[in-house]
This record gives sequence, structure tokens and C-alpha cells, in this order.
Amino acid sequence: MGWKSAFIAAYVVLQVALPLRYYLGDHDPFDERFAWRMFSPVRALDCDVAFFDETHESKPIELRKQLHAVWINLIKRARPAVVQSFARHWCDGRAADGVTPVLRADMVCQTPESLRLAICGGSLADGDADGVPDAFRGAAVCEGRTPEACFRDECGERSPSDCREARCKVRPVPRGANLCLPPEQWT
Amino acid sequence: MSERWRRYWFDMPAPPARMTLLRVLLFGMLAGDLWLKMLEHAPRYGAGDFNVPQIDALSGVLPVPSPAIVGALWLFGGFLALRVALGIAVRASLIALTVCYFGVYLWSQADSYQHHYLMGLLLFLSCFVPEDVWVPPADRQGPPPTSWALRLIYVQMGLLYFWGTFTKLHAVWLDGSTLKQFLTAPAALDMLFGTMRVFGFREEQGFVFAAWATVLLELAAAIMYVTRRYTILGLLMLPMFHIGIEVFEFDIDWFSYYMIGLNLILLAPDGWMTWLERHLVKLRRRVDGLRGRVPGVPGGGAAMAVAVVAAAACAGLASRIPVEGGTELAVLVFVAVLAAQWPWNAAALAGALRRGAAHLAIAGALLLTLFHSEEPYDYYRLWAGDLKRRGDREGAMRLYEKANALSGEAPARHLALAGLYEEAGRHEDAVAALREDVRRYEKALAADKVRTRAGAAADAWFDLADRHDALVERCERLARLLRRAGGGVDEADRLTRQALTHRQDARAALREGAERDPRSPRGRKGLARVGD
Repeated sequence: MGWKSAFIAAYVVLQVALPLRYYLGDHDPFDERFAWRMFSPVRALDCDVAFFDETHESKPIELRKQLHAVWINLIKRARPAVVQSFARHWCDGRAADGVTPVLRADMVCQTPESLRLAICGGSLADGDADGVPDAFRGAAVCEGRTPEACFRDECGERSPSDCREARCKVRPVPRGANLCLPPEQWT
Repeated sequence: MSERWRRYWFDMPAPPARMTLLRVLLFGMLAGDLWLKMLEHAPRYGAGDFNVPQIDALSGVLPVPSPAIVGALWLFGGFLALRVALGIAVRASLIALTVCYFGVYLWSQADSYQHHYLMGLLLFLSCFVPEDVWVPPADRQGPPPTSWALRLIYVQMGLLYFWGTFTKLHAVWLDGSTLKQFLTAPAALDMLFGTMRVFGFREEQGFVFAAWATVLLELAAAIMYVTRRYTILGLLMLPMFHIGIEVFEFDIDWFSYYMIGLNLILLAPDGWMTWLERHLVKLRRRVDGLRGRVPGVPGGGAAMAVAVVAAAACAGLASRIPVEGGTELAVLVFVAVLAAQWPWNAAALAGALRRGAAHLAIAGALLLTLFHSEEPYDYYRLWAGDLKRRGDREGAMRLYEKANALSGEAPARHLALAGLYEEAGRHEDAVAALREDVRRYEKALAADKVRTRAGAAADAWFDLADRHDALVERCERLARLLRRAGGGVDEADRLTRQALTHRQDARAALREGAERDPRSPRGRKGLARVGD
């Protein structure tokens, strides 16, 4: 019974620790594997992704001509291991041509909170020039508050565009980083 | 070791009826999943010589997977799953099945659904359930056997639900925002909003209600699985919950079906299982009575011969699968059948013959399933589509040809193939492909017309309109191609007239559909497209 008890304990500890790892420390929020995060707010999000070959001049890379759709979908969900592997795969391929490759990405993802913020939905148009985007009028999330109060709660003193950038978007990969360098140097 | 620990883990009853249901239903379903759902995903493995394993440490250790290997492993996995369901060499099959299924899962992130991870873990734990717990001896007496691995399966299910709850303890879930994002199917929204109105709530509150209900239900499920108390409540509520997920059209493959099956089997009270066992024992005695009439000649050399013949016959059948990896599968099947049939200990010939027949039945089921399902067609179609996108024209043409050859008389991918032939300058092949395409669509159209004759619903008319639209495109394309080639002017003119007729018929079918269901977006969009 000894090894069986040890096995049971190890299995249960692992099944507690693996999901817990997601919530503790600096685990990447976009890597939800092994954490049983069914229907998580992160899963509902999508990223806008563009890669550029900047070895000589800036040329957009058509991902669909490079990768199977399943990997593109995972990149659009900012799965870190897939982004890093693609970078390594592409850079190795370019380096084989005898050049020093430079790969950059513009990757913008929604934050989970963006699903419940009026500033993140609709346009920022401000028809009556009162400093509050028109989308705040009648927004379901602002129910029970005036549009001005709702905007203040969400954005404080920030301008609508600054507020949207800060609260609705996250960049899992730094904009200027050369992804052909090791990930630790993507700053 | 404390007494409570020992009792909790090591006194867990494993009623034979529960284990039989689990074996037959879960592994039967898994075989279906592997053969009918997962196989078409095999071509994504190793596409573009790119792969990302689930575990970093496997990077560079394992080669990039290939569709042939992954396909063979999954088909072999289905073979083993059915063998488990039939109670043949259960533990050995489970270990091999776990290597195939969980191994492929860990090899690549290409299939990211979490239920593959859950199935991998359940398979792994199942390997620790003893053979005589999976297949109890016919003359078994006394209390049910116990299994600590079965307890771990319960705890695993509890942890799954617990972490599912934990994930949702987030303002964005609890206020219904996440659910609103996921829940987009019009029928599902109608149902949710309708229920809310019945209870006097506003429609938007439906999302909040559903979000909280999910959290509470998953938490209750976690407690029920870990404690095995109040399971009758779970037996009523959890299958309904997972049926709801299917009704709401969340795209999660067969996860709901696995969960419905697991909940029904694992949460049914022990008393129900005792009752069921009594009836199963009666059935088994009858089967054993029939078996008793077959002479139990001692095995030895004859049993060895049966083992070799059965293994060779099964391998021969496996090698005829209509997808890549036939040789790999045949080798795996040969080894597995031979190992299970070989008379390691003295064996009766009758038993060897029974096992041989069962193995042949499983191999036959594999072939029948593949030849009578659309899976091999989808396998090649999806693979060809990927190659086409990535600019491998020759590869895409070869695979589209295979897909079309497997599609019987149904409309297939001749249009895409014709486009590739045109690009490659193979005009005659392009014309032949398009003629075949038009022929098949005309045939399908005739069947659609029969369906719409007897007061069909709106969707049948919209389907008919889609078919006419498809024929417009194909007739015009073929006519253009014939004119460009400089011949077949009469045929081209006929096709142009045919396209015009199909366009008018499409419009008429859209009007018919819109009359039957004026709210349907298919009708509105279709009529807007044709300018009506």
C-alpha cells in the first residue's frame, strides 16, 4: 500500500499545483493549459496579430501561407509557446538563407475586463463634445449610473483613447522586440 | 497511515455493473470519437514541418509528428478502446491506448480542447484498475471489489469541476459578460430569454442567472465527486447541465457527451448498480451456457495457429484503411492481436477462437466505419485545403483527387481541384473536374427538389436556393473555361442558359423560404444578395 499512497498523494498534489500555478507567480495569463479553465474569460478573447519581416525592409508576413490554421488560431489566442516556436521556426528558416533575420510582431489582445467596460465597446465618437463617448449612453454596463459617472468610474481623468489603450488592450509581445532573439530579450 | 486515509482511498467499492458500464460506454464512445471525429484532425500534425509539444522538455526530443503516424495511432487507439469495451486484454489494451492517446496529446498542442487532457488522465488512471475489477469473474461472490484508482478517477472529476468553478469566480464571468460573449446561437438565446420572461426577469438578467447557476452547480459537482454524497442530485442536474451546453451550441466536440456518460455512470448510487449486477449476472450465465456447448479443446499448437491467423487477418484488414498510415496501423494491430491471442498459459481452443472472432469483428468495424463515414473524405479535404493555402499546389491536387475519389456521388471538392488544374495549365483536367462537379450538383439538386415538394420548412427551401447558387457559379465557370479553350461553344452556351435558370430558381426558392419564415436571417440575407 506504500507506493500506492505515495502515488495517490503525488497525483493529487500535481492536480492541485498545476492549475494553481496559473493563479500564482508570473504565469502567462494566455497559457491556460492544464488549469481546467473551461469557458474562462480569457478564452472569450481574441488578439489582432501581425508579423513583419524586418530583415531588410518591413514586409508583412502572411501567416496563412506559413502555418496550419490551428496554429494561427493559437497565436491569435496569444499562446506563448506557440508564438515563441513560430518565431524560432521562421527565424531559423530565414537564417538558413544566410541573412541575420529580424522578426517583429504587432500583437494586441483584449483584456478580460474589456468585456464589462463601456469604454471597450463601440466607437469613441463624442457627438455632443462633452468628453464622454456616445457609446456610454444606454450601455448596459452603465445601468443605474449617468454616462458621465460611468465614464469617470472606468477612466478617471484619462482621455477616452488613453483609457481604451490602458484598460482594454494588452500586448503579450512587446511591439519593437526582435523575435529572432531569445524570448528573455524580447523587451 | 491514518485509518481515514486508508478507508477513503482503499475501501472504494467498484461495483461490477458500474465498471462494466464504464468499460462498454466510455471506451465505446472513445473508439467512435477516435474513428469518426479525431481522424480528420490528423493532417494538422506536422503541417509545414511545424510543431509545439505540450511540454517544453519534449521539444527537440521527439520528431515532428506526421499525419500518417498520428492517424495510425488514433485508429489503433480506437481498435484498443473497442477491445477494452469487449473485455479483451483490458489492462494491456489500456496501457497501449494511453500511450497512443495521451502520447499524441503531449506530443503536440495542435488539438487544444481540454477534454483530450481529461481523457488522457482518465486513461492513465484506468491503467491502475486491476483486470478482474474491469472484467469480474463469472463466479464472483461477496462484496464488490475495491479500487483506489477508481477513487482517484472520482477525485479527478471533482478537481475538474472545482477548478472550473474557481475559473469563474471572476467579475467578468459573474456579471454574465463572458457568457454573453460565448452564447450567440439565436435558438439558444431565444430559449434563455424565454425562460427569463416566464419567471418575470429581464432578458439580460438571464446571463447573470446562468453564470451564477453554473458556478454553484460546478461547485456542488466537485463536492459530490470528492465525497460521493448527494450524488443523486448530481445524477439529475449534471447531465442536464451538459445537455444544456450542447443545446446552447458551444463548440466543444464530444466533451458534453463524455461528461453526460461519465456523470450518469459514476454518480448512479451503488444500490442501483447492485440491482443492475443481478440482471447482468443472469445474462452472463445464459451466455456462458451457450459457450458451454462449444467444445473446450485444450489449446497449445492450435491456439498458437489461431493467434497467428487472427493477427494476420486483422492486420490485413487494417492495412486497407482509406487514409495514410495503413502499414503502420497494420503492424500495430498485428502485434496487439498476437500478444492478446498468444496462449501464454495453457488456453482452451474455444476461448482462442472467441477472441479471434472478436478481434476480426473489431478490425471489420474499423474498416466499415471508415468506408461508410465521411471521415476519410474530410481527412483528405482538410489536408488538401491546408496545402493549398500554404502554396503546395501539387500536394493539394493529389489530396483533393483522393478526397473526391472517396466522396461517392456527393458534391465534393471538384471546384477547388479544377482551380488548381487551371493554375497548373491542365485545362482538360479542369474541364473534366468541373463537368463532374456540375453533374454531382445536378444530382443533389434533384434530391433537394424532392425534399421541398411536400410542404417543407423554410430551411429546406434555403438549402435548395444554396444548391442553385452553387450551380450558377459552376456552370458559369465551366462555360468560361470552355470558351477560353476555344472549343465546346455549344456546351458553353447551354451552360450559360443553365446558369441563368438556376439564378431564377434560386430567387424563387428564397422567396418560398422567406414566406415560410419571414424572420430567418438566411432568407433576408439571401434576398438582399440577389437584389430582391
